[in-house]
Parts: sequence; C-alpha cells; structure tokens
Amino acid sequence: MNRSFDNAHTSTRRDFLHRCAICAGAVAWPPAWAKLAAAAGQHPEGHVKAAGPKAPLEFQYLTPEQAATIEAICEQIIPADEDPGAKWAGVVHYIDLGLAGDLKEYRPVYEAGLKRLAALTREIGTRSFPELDFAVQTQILEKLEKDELREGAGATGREFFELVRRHTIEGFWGDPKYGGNREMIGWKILQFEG
Amino acid sequence: MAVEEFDAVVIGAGAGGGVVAKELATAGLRVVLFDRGQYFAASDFGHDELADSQEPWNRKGLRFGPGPKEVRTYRPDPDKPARIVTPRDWEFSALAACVGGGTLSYQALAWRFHPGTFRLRSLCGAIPKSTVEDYPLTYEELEPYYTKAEYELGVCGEPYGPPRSKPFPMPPQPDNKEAEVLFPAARRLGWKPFHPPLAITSEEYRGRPGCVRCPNCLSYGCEVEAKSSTAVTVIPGAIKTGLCLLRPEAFVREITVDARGQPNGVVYRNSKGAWQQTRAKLIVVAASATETPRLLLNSKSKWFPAGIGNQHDQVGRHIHEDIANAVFGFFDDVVGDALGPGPSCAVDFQFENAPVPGGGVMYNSFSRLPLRVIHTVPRPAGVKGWGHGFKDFYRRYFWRHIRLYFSVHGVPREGNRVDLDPDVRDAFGVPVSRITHRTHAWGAPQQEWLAGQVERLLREAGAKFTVKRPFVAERAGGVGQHQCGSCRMGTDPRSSVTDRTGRVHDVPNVFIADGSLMTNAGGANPSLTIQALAYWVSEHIVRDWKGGGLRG
Repeated sequence: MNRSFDNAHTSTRRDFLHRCAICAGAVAWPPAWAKLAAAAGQHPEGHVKAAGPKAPLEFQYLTPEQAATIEAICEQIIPADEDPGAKWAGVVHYIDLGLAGDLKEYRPVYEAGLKRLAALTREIGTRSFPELDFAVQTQILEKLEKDELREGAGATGREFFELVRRHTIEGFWGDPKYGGNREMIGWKILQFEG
Repeated sequence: MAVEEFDAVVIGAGAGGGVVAKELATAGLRVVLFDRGQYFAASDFGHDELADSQEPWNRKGLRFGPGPKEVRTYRPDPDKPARIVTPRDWEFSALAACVGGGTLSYQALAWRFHPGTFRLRSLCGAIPKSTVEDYPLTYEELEPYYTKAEYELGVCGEPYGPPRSKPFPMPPQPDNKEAEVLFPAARRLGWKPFHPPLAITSEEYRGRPGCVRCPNCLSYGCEVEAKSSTAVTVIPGAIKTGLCLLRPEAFVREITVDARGQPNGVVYRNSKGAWQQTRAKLIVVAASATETPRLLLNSKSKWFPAGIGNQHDQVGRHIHEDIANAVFGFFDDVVGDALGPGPSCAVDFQFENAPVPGGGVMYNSFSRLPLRVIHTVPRPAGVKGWGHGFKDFYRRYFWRHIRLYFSVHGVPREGNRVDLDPDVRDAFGVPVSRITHRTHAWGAPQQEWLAGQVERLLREAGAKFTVKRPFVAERAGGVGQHQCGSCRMGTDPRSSVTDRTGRVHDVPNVFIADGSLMTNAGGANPSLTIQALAYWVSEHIVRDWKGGGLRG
C-alpha cells in the first residue's frame, strides 16, 4: 500500500483522504515512521485510527485554483516517495493559514509569483500547472527557479520560488500547530521525536 | 516631578552590563540597570522552531529582539551608499535586545582567550589595511577576572591551553554521540581534544539545576535556567542586594551633560513610551559593539560636539569579529543523538599550535533540530535544494552528519565603522546605527589551513564525504554576534576610546563594559572575555568610588 504515496501527486487531496479512509490501517504507515514506532514498542494501528477520515479543510486565504497550484509546487519540492510528501503533510494549509495570518506580508510575492508561473506554464500549452505531468511540472519549476522577470513591481519568479521552497520546508518540518507537518510526518521520517 | 537620582546608571543588561550592575550594587552603589528589551522568565521559553528561536526563520521575528520594526543601514565600503536593513538581514549585524542580551540564547561557549590574542599586533606585526593593536592589558592581568567570571556565572569544562589559577567550577557535560566519534579520531591524529568550556551547569550549581540536555539550546532560552545567562545569575544577584533597580523595555537615547560639561545622566523612553530623565554620578555603557557607539554619538552637546568619547573620531571604528566557518562531514553510520547542549569536543590550534598566524579553535556544534539542519546544512554538488534528492539527502543524513565549526582571529579593517546614519531615524526619531563592514583578508590563509585540519578530523572519524561552506576573503556583510572593537581600550587617545580600565578618555565618569572594548576578537567566542573585562572595569570603578572619586 505504500506505493500509493508515489501516486499521491496525481490525485486530489480529497481523493487521497478518501482512499486513506477506505484503507484505514495500512496506508498511513511510511517505513521510517513504522520502524520508529516499532522500536518504541508502539502498535502502528493505534495511530492510524486516531488519524481517521477527515473532511478536506477549507482554505482561509488562497482560492481553490491558487491552492491547487501551490500544493503542486510544494509536492515538487518535497515529493512523496516511500514516505509521504508535502501534499500528504498538508503543507498548502501551512501556507494558506500563514498568508491569512502571521505570513501575510508575503501575499504580494505569492500573487506576483503565481502570475509568473502561469506565464511560464502557458508557454507550453493550455493545461494549468496542477494538471501537468510531474516531470513537466519539474521542468517548469526549473525555469521558475532562474526566472528574473517580474509582473509589474512584484517579485521575480526566482524570488517567489525561493519563498515557496522556504515555506514548504517550514510547513513540512515545522511545528504541526501551524497547519502543516500533518501527524508530525516530517519529524517521523527524520526519526526526530519533537 | 523631581528627576530620580542614582549613583550609577548601567545601559544594557547583557553579558557585560549584568556583571557591572552586580559588582557596583554589591559595593554599595545605588544602581539602575536599563535594557531596551524584555525581561523573560523561564516560563516564556518553548521548543517551537518557528516561534521560540532567535533564528531568521522564526515567523514573528527574532524571539529575543530587536523587534521587527527596528532598522539600521548597511554599506560594505565607505564610498558606497547605505541601504536600510532589518534584524532578520545578516547585514543588520546581529544582537539580542533583552535582559541577558546574547547570553540568554547563545550557545554558551565560554573560552578564555589565548594569551597571544592580547599581543596579536606584537606577535604578528603590522597588518596592511588593518588598524589592529595589542590589548593594553595582558592575559596574566585579566586571569583573575576570568576565574571570577567562571565562578560567578557558572562554567563547566576541563583545562586546556591558557594557564589558570583555579580549576573549572564544574566538570564538563557528559559525552554525546559525536564526542564518542570525534575524541578517538582526534587522538589518532596526535591532537589533544578536550571538552569545550560552556557557561551551562553540568550539575547543580548555586541553586540552579544541572542541564537536562534538551536539544533546544542554541538560540533558545533555557527553561530550567541551566544556561548561565546574566539574566539568571548576576542580574538576580544585583537585584537581591536591594540597591539595583532593573528597568527593562527602556531605551536610552542619550547621555546628558550638566552646565559644566560633565555627564550627569541619561534620557530614556519608558515602557509606556514617554521620554524620561535619570541622573547619575557615573555612567556605564554596555549596549553592544553596534549600539554603544550609537549612544555615544547621539550624545552631542556644546561640550561634546562630535559625541561623547569621539574627540579623536574613534567611536565606532575598528568594528570586527572573529572569522567563523564550518565543515560538514557525512557518514554511513549514525553519529548523532538528540542530546543537548551540543558542543562536546574541541581542539585548540591557536598560536604555538598552528603554522599560521594566530590560528583558531575547532569544535562540534549545534544540537539537531529539523529546520536548523535543513536550512543550514549544505548539500554536496549535485544534490539540489528541492525534489526527490533533496528529501532523501536530509532523511538519510539527519543523524549521519557532524558540523565542525572553527574560528580564527579576525582583525579590524580600515574603513569599517559603526556611525550614525545621516538620514535614517528609528520610529522615535533617534538616528540609527550605520554599519560599514567587510571582513579583512588577513584571516584567509588561517581559515584555509584550519578548514583542512577540520576535514582531516572528519575523514579520520569516518566521514565518507565533506562539504565546506563557500568562503570569501573580503566578504561584504554584517558583523555578527561576536561584534567587537568599536570603542576599544588603549593607551593612546588618538587610536582608542577608553583607557585600559574602560574609562572614556578625558571623561572621568563614563565607562564602557561590553565587546566594544576589545582590541581583538580573539580566535573564539568572546562572551567570557567580555565578562572578565566587565569585572576588571567594575573593580576599577569601585576602587575609585571607595577612594572618594566619581561622586560628583
């Protein structure tokens, strides 16, 4: 069942949570985390039941389209492999809640950066960024990472990417109370005990 | 309302100011101790990397100040325009603004400087484009004050290089996993590794418990008061005398002068935002090497048209720090654990122990916290900052890397200075510090050589590969937490601001007691030297006071 994490970036969060609910007990156990729990003498299933099915969270600041794009970028930065990635960890909610509160000073960077990303995405076709294949998304972000153009007086593509990268790291490995690092997954894959 | 009067006003409750307040109050002087920052209690501290740390990734700004709205300006060279910088910017030139100052959140490395540091200019000769001078006092003269600082603050460790008159008051911290890896490797290389001195309790000490070895040490406040900050040692001691009033959240703008041109007090903004006056017979400035010059330069009058102590245009010059860097080793096996405080193995390569001038020290540092590791541990070429390889790298090496720090002597570079920005004022209309700084190239070969030794140690310990941080010889950027030298002590008023006792030349009742005094930053972390100097300065003040001087 761990393979499902490899595909997580191609499905929506709602789908994924739904599958979690169906497979309860098996899905949410990435290897590093399982090993850690086993070493500590815990029974994995207890945690999974506690995780339970969840309704998708509302976004506080981002539009659904913006959220889908940000979530896809986050998943590129910390992708799922044998352990969950940024999408599973809810990093987009870390960013969304942040932009609604403590991180609101960064709103203009996100606004300008999303426009730069849209421009780069249009260069290769009509599909929106989250709809593209993972490998194509990677190519676009490699361009964004070096992009020195800006929309109006806003941030450059490069500045935007660097900020999302930083926020993704914080949302994946920072304290879960800010909306990311769901079930302390970032810490568990490092075998860091908080 | 009558203006309040004290015997002494001390500005800055950090490493130096806390010591001075305790010493003067213990000698019977009525003291007021100002700090512009908060007085934190142990219950204010936490383990959240995004909220409780003094790191730039704290979402609300630096936990222990300065506040996010504070500004300075920075330029790399005197002929370049200065730009506005904020506390999160490296160019701001870090300091902590709170009771305890940097000692509240520092890593607490408590080195004594090598005796050679005090005579660096004599031993190394004149250095082009540098204004470096010897200290006007020797290690031997300062030794008793180092001892006093170790006992009053509480330092643990074991003897290394500098001669000492008394043993450490506490044994070293117990080993962590890194020590188990590094000690045998260093010995195989024929070196003499030792446990670095830390101003952290290793057992119960004067009513404070021993360190509980949590990993949130550097850049955090200590919840059990094991870190020997001035906020939990000498400052409570000063208050306990009944003669010291601590006044936090009070920013001192200027030193006032009476009709005869004698400094007689300060103007400060109280915690409610009102400007107030305090009178005092003597004034001790200990606001940090980047704020002390600002205060002196903002204290202009017809008697001191260029600011107090600045008659020879020396205030703020010679600002510099030691040059620190790190090499990271990556191992196949787990080499780390989750135990604080972190530094557990050091090697002294200063002076006679190195083929390069001055040399420096190396030590492993930092406990492992996720954001700190991922934001600061560099990756080898070929592993980019995002994607599968990025995630895999930190997952694999979180417990399998060692960060070995090293520092070498830095020297002041001509042109570096802290002065007042001619245009920029803070939110209350007070001119801000303008930092002009880049590092001097003199430390480059030393750094290169020591980095090579650090790499040897990591390889000997079993590292499969190492990564160095990029290294720039004359690097533009701020001066960091180890900032010093900006109001240095000396015998010649034309090249220094104070005499060898910390008294400002030609201004008998104004003293300085922070890193500003230091003519050289040494080859290692400076806080214990700041504190030894603060004891030295305090003793001279008290002697003068008891002899009837300084009483106006």
